[in-house]
Amino acid sequence: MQTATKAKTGNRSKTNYLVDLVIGMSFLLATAPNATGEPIHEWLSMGLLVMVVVHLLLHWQWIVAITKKLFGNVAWQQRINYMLNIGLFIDLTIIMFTGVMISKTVVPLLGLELPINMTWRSLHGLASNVGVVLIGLHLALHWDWIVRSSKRYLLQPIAKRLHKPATQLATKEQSS
Amino acid sequence: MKLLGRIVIIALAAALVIGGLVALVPSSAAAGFAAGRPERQLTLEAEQSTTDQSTNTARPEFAGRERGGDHHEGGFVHIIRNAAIMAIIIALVAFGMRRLRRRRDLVWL
Repeated sequence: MQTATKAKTGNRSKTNYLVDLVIGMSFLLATAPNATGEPIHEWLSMGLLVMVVVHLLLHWQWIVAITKKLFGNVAWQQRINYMLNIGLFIDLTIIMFTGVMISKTVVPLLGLELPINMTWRSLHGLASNVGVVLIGLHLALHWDWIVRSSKRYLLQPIAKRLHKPATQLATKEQSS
Repeated sequence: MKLLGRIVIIALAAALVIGGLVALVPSSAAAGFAAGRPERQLTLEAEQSTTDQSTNTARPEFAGRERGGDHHEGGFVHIIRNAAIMAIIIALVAFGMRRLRRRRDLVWL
């Protein structure tokens, strides 16, 4: 029973790590529309929106728990983390909304035509710059978990795969 | 059903932010600003001089910005810049916090 729970927690942690890794990489790529081109930038951002919702759903229990006891007995680190996450949610919503308002690929594909409004463009740029800082802070607050998970789910499997042929070779030599 | 409820809550929260944003951004000012700025031209016409864009007389405050794009619309250099900013923040906050925790200066951390 305990082993099953451990395995479930491990799988959940692995899913969290993979989702976060994809979000992080996509965000960095999405901040350079001139490098990727507008269509990739817009479709990547749409994918990012879905991944952010998945990220929120995966951490739903934490959100509910901290919301319930925000003004009660809760560690200050958790409180700061919660406030930062609210800021990040607002910022990402602004980025997504202003992105849709200045869209040149996704929105026209749906047959919609929005009026050109330079305020949305300025806000989009400003919010994405703020987003870089907020995501940096978000990563910093979870840095220990990121290092631990990277070792477990990224570095160890790679190291195992690299060492496997050598071990197999040694076993073969021993048997012969 | 539970999942749908959670997605609806997220959508409502996002709608609240968007509603606030739309209410805060004055549409008339935005339209005026949009009318004042010419559409960004990414390529030059064959007969067009290269100095045309950098000496934009219609809106001198935007002179020279059209060709290179706005500052937030960079190429791959922007990815490196953003990654570097994140790395600096992580170094300052994560390692700073670890140090403080070790020294027990901040009990709540």
